Amino acid sequence: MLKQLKVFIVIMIAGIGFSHASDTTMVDSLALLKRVREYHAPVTQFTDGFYSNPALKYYARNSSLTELNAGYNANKQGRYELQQGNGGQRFGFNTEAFLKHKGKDALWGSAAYSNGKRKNVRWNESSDYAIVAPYVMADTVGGDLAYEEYSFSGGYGILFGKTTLGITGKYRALLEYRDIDPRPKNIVSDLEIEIGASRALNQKYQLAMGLSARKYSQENIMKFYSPLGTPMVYHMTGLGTDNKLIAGNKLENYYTGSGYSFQLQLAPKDKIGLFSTLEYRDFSVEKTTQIVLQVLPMSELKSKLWKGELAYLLGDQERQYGVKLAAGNEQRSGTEAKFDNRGQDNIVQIASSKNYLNEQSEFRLTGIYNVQKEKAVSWQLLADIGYTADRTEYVDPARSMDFAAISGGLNVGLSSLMGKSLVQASVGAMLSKNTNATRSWSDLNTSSAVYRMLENNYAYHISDYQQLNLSARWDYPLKNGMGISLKSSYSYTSFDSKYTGNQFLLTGGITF
Amino acid sequence: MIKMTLRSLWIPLCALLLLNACKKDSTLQLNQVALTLTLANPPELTDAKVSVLKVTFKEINSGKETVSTNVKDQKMNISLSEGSYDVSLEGTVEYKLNGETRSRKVGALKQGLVLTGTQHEENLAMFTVLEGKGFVIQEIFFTGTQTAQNKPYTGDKYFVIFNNSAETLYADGLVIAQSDFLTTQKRAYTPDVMSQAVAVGAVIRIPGSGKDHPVLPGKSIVIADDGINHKEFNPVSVDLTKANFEIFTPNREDIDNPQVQNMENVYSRMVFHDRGFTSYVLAHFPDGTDDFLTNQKYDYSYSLLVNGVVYPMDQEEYKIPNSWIIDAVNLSVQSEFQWIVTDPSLDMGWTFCGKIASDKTRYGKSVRRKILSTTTEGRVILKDTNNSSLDFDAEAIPSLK
Repeated sequence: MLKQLKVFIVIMIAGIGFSHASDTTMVDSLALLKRVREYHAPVTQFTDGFYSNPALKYYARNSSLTELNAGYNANKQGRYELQQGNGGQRFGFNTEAFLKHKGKDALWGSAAYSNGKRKNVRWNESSDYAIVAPYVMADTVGGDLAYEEYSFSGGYGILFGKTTLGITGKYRALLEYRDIDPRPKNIVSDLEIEIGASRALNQKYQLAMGLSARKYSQENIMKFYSPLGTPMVYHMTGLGTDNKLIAGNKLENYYTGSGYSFQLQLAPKDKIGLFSTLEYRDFSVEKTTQIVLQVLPMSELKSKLWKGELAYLLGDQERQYGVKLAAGNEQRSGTEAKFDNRGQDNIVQIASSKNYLNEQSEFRLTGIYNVQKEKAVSWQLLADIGYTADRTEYVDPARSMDFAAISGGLNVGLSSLMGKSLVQASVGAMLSKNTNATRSWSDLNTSSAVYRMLENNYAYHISDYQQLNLSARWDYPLKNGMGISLKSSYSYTSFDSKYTGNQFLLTGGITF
Repeated sequence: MIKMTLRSLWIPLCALLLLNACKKDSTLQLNQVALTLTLANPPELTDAKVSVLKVTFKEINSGKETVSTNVKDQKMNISLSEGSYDVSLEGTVEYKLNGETRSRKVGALKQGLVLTGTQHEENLAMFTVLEGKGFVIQEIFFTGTQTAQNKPYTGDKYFVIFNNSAETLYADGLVIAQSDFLTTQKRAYTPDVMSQAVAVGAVIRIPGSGKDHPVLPGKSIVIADDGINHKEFNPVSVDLTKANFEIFTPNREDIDNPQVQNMENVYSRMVFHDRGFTSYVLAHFPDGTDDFLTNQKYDYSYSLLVNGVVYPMDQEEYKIPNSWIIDAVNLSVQSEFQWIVTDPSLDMGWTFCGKIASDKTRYGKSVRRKILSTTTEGRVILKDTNNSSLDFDAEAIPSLK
């Protein structure tokens, strides 16, 4: 399966390069660096979310560009959620391409491969924690997890007069494992297909609608090679609870997910004016545990996500300024099965109850001022302020955790042509201040491992922090419309006097 | 035109979004069941009336324990969430005997009480608790030890039998038997004799003519698997050269230390279940082993379900009548436990080393009976309420270590 994917990715990269190279008559008319500048300008990223619908992708960029990158990323955090690990390292390569035939259609695609390690992962032997949590298989041993991840996507948008139709497909495969006890081997497959249609309301605005369907699966199987036996393996059910009847050495789990989404957008063709997007995502994941001759339906997690953004951008080709208001809310509720094993039919489901609820909300206001010069120094100023809130409840035993924070940041970016080179750099700072912090797990013994795990995670979630972000990118054009690039970024986070975090990224690649 | 479109589109959508974002989800649900528990007095007691009582409801999925002491007219009404419960009762009843009011400790056990729906009625039969005043099983070291090479080491397991009375007792003829049924595998064995006897798969007996092996009050004897110094082979193991008896199976690769007297093999071969899935009973055969082997055969049948196909199974073992049993200890592990394999009047609980099957932390641990008190003469009295969950220290350090 994974070998086939590797072959597919290689073919896809070659295909993108070939199709782009055959289109050089069109793209040669535009300087490479100008296109790179457009793609990586903060103002482009400021409005990108409004063009995610495949029917609007055509309007997301004015030019075509293909980028092939290889890079290394390392990060480490003193404060962290135990289930996610305290950092890791990753080597990978990726390619992204966007081909635009003006007045006709657009083709886009990406492919990526990552090989890395997540370090010090505890209380979680399943993959994709953000998707399947809290229903993970866990033990108190844990350790580093190695992984290989493949992803690719492709799409096509075509114009029919005032109407644009588009389709996008995304696929991700993940293999995550550990070579010493406990030895999880997790295989993830995640596929999403999205279709969209947009209609020109007038010369300026497009109104678009999109629908998507998603299919997810994860095989989560653990083994132990020690002749002495195994440690206790838990099937977690939220805020440190677990199903005591299933705890032990039931080591084979399957997650099956499916969902859909719809989105509605209003966006200007020229990226000046009013932008709006509204998105709803519905996704559910069922966890089953396989034991001898039985498949136990352990839980079903349902996620309902609303997200809306509204922005207004003024200006002209050389200068843009505007604001964006974003709001989002996700509710994740979990229904768990209850079993009986005191009868003569092994384990039998006798009841189920909705025990778990997690709600996350976010509001954010972002402002941008962008000065884009052809030859002189371009600069941008981005400022944002936001509020995030998270509430988790478990009904029996009654436990809860609430936290909220206000955060804000400022980012200054410069971009300049220096000789034949394009140099882009930015520096940013961010502050996050907790505004609400309550938790209750009074049924737990304070010396228990579960209590320590919950307290650690709680301390991470309610931490105030300050963050410094630095990044720089250098692009240099070669012959035949090709160029090379080098990018590096560094992020330093200070949670408090004792805990810090560092993240470093270095990538190099070619553009054409 | 554009403004009209925007208003008509965005105002309702944004309102919907904000309403949803602010909405408090109150749909967490925990269905409650109104349980009426009717208590039945031990049939042998006349005019019995509950005086003190505690009922513990343990939901086996969440592990949550709910305790109630509210009994009125032999009934207990309680609201519990849906689930499967192990219900245990401890208490005292007053009863009449020859016109006098006396009190007696009682117990009751109901495993796997499934509560669903809105209401449930259940009867719970109480039995009298006969606290041991003779020999009791003090310790079972059934897990073995772990070598420096992280391999399991066997042969160093043992039983300790303790004289819990104030008189000298003789161990001659004492029988130790291993249950035939596993506490981790519940089946409908037919005929079901559990209320009268314990099905056994291996039986050993202390030799002697009746007065050969005195055990003083508060003293104990050790029955070793192999009565040798295991520390010579595994430094973290135990020295069993001073054991009173050892288990030896002729014609097998078994070690026989001639310095340690062998137990008599009455039936089958005694092999400790090192994960602790079997239970053990201490008994005395009133009419000797020949009578046992002749009259206590237990032929039973059960259905084995494999891939949806039912296979009828027959087996021939032995049983020990409950009235012959002096003490019983059920063993299991939390993750696999399904039932106790003795009548609850013998033992209504279970103890353990390790919490899961093949728990790597179980090695070098034993189950040891708790000390109840020490007399002024210094004699130790061990706790024996016929509830191994309460009477034993689980995962204890072996006494001979």
